[in-house]
Amino acid sequence: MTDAGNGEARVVRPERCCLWRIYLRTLSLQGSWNTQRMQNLGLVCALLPWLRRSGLPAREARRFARRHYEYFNTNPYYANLLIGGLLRLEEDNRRTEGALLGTVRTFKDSLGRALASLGDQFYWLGLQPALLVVAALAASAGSLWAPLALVGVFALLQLAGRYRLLVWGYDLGLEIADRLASPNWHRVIWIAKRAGALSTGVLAGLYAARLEHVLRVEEERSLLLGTALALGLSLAARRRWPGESMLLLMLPLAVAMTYL
Amino acid sequence: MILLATAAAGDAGFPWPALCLTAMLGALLVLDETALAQTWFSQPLPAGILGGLIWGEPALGLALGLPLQLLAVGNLPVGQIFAGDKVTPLLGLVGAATAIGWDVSAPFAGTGPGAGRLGWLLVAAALGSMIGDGLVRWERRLHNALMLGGLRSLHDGRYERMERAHLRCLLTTALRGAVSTVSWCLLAIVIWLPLYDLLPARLTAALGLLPWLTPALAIGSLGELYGSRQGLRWIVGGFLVTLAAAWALMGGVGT
Repeated sequence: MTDAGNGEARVVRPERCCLWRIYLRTLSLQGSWNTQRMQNLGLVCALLPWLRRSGLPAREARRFARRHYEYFNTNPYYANLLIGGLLRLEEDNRRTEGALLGTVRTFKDSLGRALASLGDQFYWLGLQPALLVVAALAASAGSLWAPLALVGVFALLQLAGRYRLLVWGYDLGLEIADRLASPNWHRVIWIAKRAGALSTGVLAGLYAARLEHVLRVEEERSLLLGTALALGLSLAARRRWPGESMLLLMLPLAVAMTYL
Repeated sequence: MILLATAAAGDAGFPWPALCLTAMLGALLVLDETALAQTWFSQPLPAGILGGLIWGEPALGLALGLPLQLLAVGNLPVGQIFAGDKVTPLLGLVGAATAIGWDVSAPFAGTGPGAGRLGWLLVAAALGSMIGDGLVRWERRLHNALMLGGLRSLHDGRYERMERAHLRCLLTTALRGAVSTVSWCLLAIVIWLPLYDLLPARLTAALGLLPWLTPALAIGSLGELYGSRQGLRWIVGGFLVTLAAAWALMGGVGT
C-alpha cells in the first residue's frame, strides 16, 4: 500500500503496480460488451487484481464477484473515476466487515448512470464531432499529418486522464458524488458542444466556397440540387439514420441528376 | 476467401507483406472502435491515412477516409441501433485500390473519372459497413454466451475462467478485424474494382457526384444535432465568418 498523503485524512492507495494492472484492464472495459449485462465482465476483470491482493476469504470473494457481475454500463472515458471510487468503497467495506454493502451497490448504480450521461454529452455529442470536423477540414486542405496529430494528442490525453481518474476516484471515494454536482462539468460540455456547432459552420462555409468554384468552372449545375437534396435528407432523417444508408439512397438520386 | 486469395495470387508481384500488415492494422483498429482504449484512430479519416501509409499511398487513404468520416461524423454511438463496420472495408479498399494502381482523384476536386472511381469505392465501403453490422451483432451474441459461461466462476471461485472469457471476446473481435480486412481487399481486387469498367457511363457520372454530397450529409446531420436556437447561432456564425474570410483572403468565394 502507498500513502497518498495530501489531506487531513490520509488515503492509503493500493501499490502502484496493482493500480497499473487495474488501469490497463480498465482500457478493455468494453472488450466483452454484451447486450445482457453490458460491461459487467470487463468490470470484474478490471477489479480482479485488487480482489487477489485483498486477502478476502473465498466466500466473501465470491460475493464480491457476484455483486459486480450484475448489469453495469457507463461511459468508458469516465469509468475509471467510478472504478477508483468503487475500489475505495470495497476496501472500506472489507475493513468494516461488510457494513457498506448497500452503499457500494447504490454508489455503483447511481454514479454509473450520472457518468454515462456526462460522458456521452461531453465526448459523443461535443468533443468527438468537433475534433473530427476539424480533422476533416485539415484533411480537405491536403494535410496528411494534421488529422493524425489531432487524434494522437487526444489519444495521449485521454489515456493519461483515465489513469488520473482512477487514482482521483480512489482518493475521493464517496466524495465523488459531491464533486459531480460542480457546474464545471456542464460548463465543459457547453464549450464542447459550441465548438462542435462552430466547426459545423466552418465546414459549411468552406463547402459552399468550394461548391461555388466547381459550379463556376465545371458548370455542374446538378451538384447544387444534389447538395440541397442531401442536406434535406439528412435533416429529415434524424441522426439515428446511418450515413451509409443515406449515401446509398443518394446514388439513384445522383443518377437522376445526371439527366438534368 | 481461399478462392479470392488464389485469384489475387495469380499476380506474381502482389504485395502480400502489405496485406498482412493491413490485416494486423484492421485487427488493432477494430479493437480500438469499442473494445480497447478507444483512441479514435479507428475513425475513418485517421484509419484511411494509416492504411494508405502501409501501401505507400496515404493520399489515397485520405481520399477515401475523408468522405467516409463526413458520413460518420453525425452518427453517434449513443443509443445506437446501427453500429456498422466502417474500418475493415475502408482498409481493404485502400489496399485493393493501391494494389491494382487505381487512379482516384482527391475528394471535392471535380466530378471527372477520378471522382467516379472514388464514388465507386465509397459505395463499396458503405455496403461493407452495412454487411459488417451483421457480423458485429453476431459477435455480441457470442459475448453474451461467453459472459454467461463466466457465471460458473461465481460458484467455484475460479476467476481465471472469467479472464479467459474476456480475452476470448477480445480475440474474436481482433480476428473479425483481420479476416474482414483481408476479405474486403481480395474481394475488391477480384470483383468490385474490375466491375467499374463495365458500368454504364451515366452511372459513373452519378458516382462522380457522390463524394460531393458527403459534406452536405454531414452538415445536415450535425445541424440536426446542434440545431437548438443557441447552437444554430454558432453554426450560422461559423458559416458567415468562413465565407467572409474566403472572400477577404482570396478576393472572391471559392477562388
